[in-house]
Amino acid sequence: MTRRRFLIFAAVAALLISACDSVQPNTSDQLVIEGFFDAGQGLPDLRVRKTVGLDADQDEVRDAFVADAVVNVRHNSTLVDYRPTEDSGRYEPSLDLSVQLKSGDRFTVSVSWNEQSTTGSGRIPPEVRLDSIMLSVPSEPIEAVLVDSLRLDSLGIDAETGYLYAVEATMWWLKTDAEDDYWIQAQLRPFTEFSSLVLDFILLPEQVFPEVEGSENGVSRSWTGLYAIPVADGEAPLPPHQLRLAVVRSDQDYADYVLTRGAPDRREPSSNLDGALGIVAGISVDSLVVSIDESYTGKRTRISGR
Amino acid sequence: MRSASLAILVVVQVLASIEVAGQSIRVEADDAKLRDVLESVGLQSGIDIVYAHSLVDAHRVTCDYDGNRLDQALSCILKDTRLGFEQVGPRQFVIRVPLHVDPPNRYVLTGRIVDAASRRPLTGAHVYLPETAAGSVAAADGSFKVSGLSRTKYRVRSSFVGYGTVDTVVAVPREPLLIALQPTGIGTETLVVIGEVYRSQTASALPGMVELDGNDLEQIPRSIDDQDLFQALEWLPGIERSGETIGGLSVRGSSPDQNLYLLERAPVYHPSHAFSLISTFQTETLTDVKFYRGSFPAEHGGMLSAVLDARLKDGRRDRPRANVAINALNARFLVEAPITRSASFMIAARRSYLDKIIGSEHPVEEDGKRDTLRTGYYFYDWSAKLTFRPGDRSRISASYYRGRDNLDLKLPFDLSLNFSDWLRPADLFFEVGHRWGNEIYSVSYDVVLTPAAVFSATAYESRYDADERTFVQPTSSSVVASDYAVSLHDLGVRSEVEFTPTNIYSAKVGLSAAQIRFQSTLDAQLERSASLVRDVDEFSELTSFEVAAFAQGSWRPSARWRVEPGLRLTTFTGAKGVRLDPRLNASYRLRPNLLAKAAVGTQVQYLHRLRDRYSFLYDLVSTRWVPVDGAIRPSTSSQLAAGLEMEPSAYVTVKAETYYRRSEGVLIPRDHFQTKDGIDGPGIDVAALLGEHTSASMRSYGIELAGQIAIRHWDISVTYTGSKSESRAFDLGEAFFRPSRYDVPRSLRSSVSWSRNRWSFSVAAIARSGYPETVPTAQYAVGGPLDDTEFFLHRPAINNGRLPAYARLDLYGGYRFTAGGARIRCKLHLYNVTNRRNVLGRQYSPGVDGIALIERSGLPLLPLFEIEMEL
Repeated sequence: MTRRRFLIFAAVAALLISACDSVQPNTSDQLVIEGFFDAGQGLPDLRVRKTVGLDADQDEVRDAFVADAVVNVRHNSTLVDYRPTEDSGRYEPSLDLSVQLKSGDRFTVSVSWNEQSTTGSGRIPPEVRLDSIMLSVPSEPIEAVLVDSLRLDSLGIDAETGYLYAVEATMWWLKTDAEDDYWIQAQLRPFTEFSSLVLDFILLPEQVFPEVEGSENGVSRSWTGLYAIPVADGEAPLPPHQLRLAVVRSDQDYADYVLTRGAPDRREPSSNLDGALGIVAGISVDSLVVSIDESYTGKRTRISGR
Repeated sequence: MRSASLAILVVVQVLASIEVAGQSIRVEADDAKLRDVLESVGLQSGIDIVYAHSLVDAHRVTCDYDGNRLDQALSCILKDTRLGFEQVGPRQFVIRVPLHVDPPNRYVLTGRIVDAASRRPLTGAHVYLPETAAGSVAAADGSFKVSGLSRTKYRVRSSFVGYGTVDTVVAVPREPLLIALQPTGIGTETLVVIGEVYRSQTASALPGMVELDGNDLEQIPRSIDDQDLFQALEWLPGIERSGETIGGLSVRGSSPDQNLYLLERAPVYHPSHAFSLISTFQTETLTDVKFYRGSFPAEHGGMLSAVLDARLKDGRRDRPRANVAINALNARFLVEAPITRSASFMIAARRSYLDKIIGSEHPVEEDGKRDTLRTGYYFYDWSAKLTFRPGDRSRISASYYRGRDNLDLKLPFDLSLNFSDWLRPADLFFEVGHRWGNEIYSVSYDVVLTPAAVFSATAYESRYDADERTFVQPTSSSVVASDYAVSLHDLGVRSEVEFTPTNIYSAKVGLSAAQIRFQSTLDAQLERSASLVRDVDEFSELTSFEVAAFAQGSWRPSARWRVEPGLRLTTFTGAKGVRLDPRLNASYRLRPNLLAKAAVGTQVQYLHRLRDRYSFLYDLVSTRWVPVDGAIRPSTSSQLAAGLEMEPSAYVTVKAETYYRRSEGVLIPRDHFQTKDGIDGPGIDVAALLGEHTSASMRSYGIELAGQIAIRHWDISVTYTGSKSESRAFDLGEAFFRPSRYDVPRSLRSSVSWSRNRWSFSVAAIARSGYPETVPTAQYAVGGPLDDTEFFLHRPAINNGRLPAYARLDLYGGYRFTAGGARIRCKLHLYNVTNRRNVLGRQYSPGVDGIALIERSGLPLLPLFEIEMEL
């Protein structure tokens, strides 16, 4: 090969190599595992799904169960086989072991299916217990701007003004000695849900934070959230509604999972499974449902002694 | 050692008497074609004489020889050419351009360089002959001498700081030459000519370097603003804007924060206006722009990817000139004039005026309630330079630049194109008051110490600051009020001495020191309800020092070779020890019209530009630079580049370059998917900001081709870039490299310009790959202990897809005329003439019926008009 030909060849090769675009989407199905090991409870059921194509509707996505996976859980040193239930996608322990999960217990979930294997592990946190709650309901509704969405392809913002009751709720839970290791998910869930893009910045129906950052008060810590109940006008009474107050104690993996669930248009939740999607986490949950009506307006109501 | 070998070769060649046994050689040539004469001699002697046709075809020779020595015959034949010969085998000779110097160093070009207006000698001015790479520096009386020349024509380039470069073609031998340089601005209406980029033969051996001087701007394709340097640079191969028309420059796939922007030797930390639509570099105010892609001389450092080194005009020294213009985005003026025989000034300003048209304050009233809504946005900048020449050997200049952007909004939340819907008093509203900009002071002193030594010193102060004030009231009982400020204050000095003892050697040594102070404050109040209130009061301050020393040499061992070794030593507060960055650049002229270049070197970057990715309370328009410290190490890179420059004919220029760069310690977001989505954030502390990022390796490589045909009224240029830019972060579990944010595998740009008399037209087209995007490949459902099952899209890898290809066609037309003593130029620019809606971004959302896809489109067809008047 002459030098000139070599140079031409090298130039063309460099051109082709540099222009080659190897970016290709990956389309193989993946396992989606969901399991929450609750302190004080027995070994939980696990749910196993798989990913489906982008052209599927939500029913197909929800029902994309995997019924023929091999599932087992190692709880401390005990290996427990799981079996599928009649309800497709749910797996339960094959033996009734009467196990009660305790703080510090370790577990590992293993799932094999269709030449895929995945494992995920965690540790059971100390039990969390709501000690008391307080509700603070304003005497009258406030004016608020309601924005449904900010669109990527438009400069316009379609907003309107409405009215709502902004209700504060505070939860107290008992501290644990090892709280440096744990995160708290505190959540207010009114049964009448409400969302507005702008107000979502102001309202605080849920927060995930390191437990040590919760407000400290003797033997307990607390968190205060804010949720909204929309009403028709500025003189409307507070509609009767139910509110669930919940607190979850768990580890960093679970916190990452919850913190990344909020923007499905942008991202998928963080997973602690090796080679699969979803989450297996040791948690401790306590919750309380209260019924709130017009009698709560204009005052603070504390419910304690649970 | 190499020099000794060459000397021995020369001696052997000179001493060797080539006697052609039994053969007589008879040459009788009178202005005959060289090729015919060589063929005749070859036949007579029986010796194989090898030559390139392109080398000899242009020559005619005169020779009268009768003997039997081939070397004497060839010497006679070639005596009036620049060609030599070499015996490469027992019976084979090669005709070639001499490897060292022309044997008969008989001819010398002498002359003087003077100021065209005052006729004063321009001590220190440069004379350069691109074809031979020979040159000289004017002495105290302006005289120069270039020796070692042959009897032929040469292109002579003369330049001096503050003066326009002059290209002259002279025939040697000749009488002493008198070169008169015009102070910058004369005969040039604007500065940068991309077309010239490919035509000019730069004196540097650096591949990737572009030196822009001020001639015919008319041929440059621009996107939006006729005066924007960045929009001109976009047409160079390997350079992309990070957005469609906005954003910084991505050079060879790097992020924009890896570029160093210098104005009057002072760094510019935020070089853009109007949310990065327009750069702060206004070409009309500039006189000398050097742009280095990847390979820098040792005098520059501190960034990994590119250096833009621009100087403001000194101001005309012969007569005043004023220029005013208005276009769709801004209005501007420039005045330059002499003050005395030894002093001149330039002052320029521009300002956007949309706020003056639609108004920045809107008093509104409804039901007896009054309010004032605000919709103000404007930017402006001032550039000024005062130059004083106390003698023929020295020059002092003081420069000033100030550019600001100001956004002032007070609006209700309900925004739409129907103004009557929202131009009314509102209880619930938001206010945004953002101001940001740069301010630069620079004083420079240049003095010719001896005819071979020039000393330069610069002291500068560069300040970048931004202030973001926000007040949001979405309900009658909740308020978000914040005041966030960022500032960077760079105070520095640098000095250098350039030695040019001979045409063979030159060297530049220098020293620089800078103190950089970083400050940011946040004072915010989040009042969600009457009792749920959080006050945020944060402050962050850092001070760093950087000291650098450099030495840059230039050695021309022969007319073909140019070697430029360099070394830069840097120490920075927070970085360990002294960093050594060697550079080596070399060029070799393969043929008179073919130049090969290569460069290898390393770079270091001590500052990282980062932005918080969580909170809307800060870092909305601000740029935060973070210096290295014990927690983060500097970014480093190594680059190898090589290129060819060829002029196959007087009308055609072709360039090809290839490069490979590897960078380490580049900070990328730890969470690729995280974008600002709430009020709460990790805070403005530097450690918190660094926690959002992780260190990554990057590599990029590619090939860049550029061709230009300039003939009569036509100018046609085409550039193609094939490249890859990839990153890998081990901390994120990335085992393999993946496309980086600014990876553009293919980019093709072309322009066709025609100009004659008063009219000029051009068509410019761009077609490139879309930027990478992260594409979902599947969907799934998963729940939580407190939540119902929710639906998500599975994105298995970052940047696993790509946006559709970007393509655009622009048209431009201009007409100039004279009226009332003023030169007037009218320009019409049709941006995106096909009205193609390029896709710039995509959002995928899981929905009940499948995936909802929302696309963000680029700008539609935009007619942009400009009128410019020069007095």
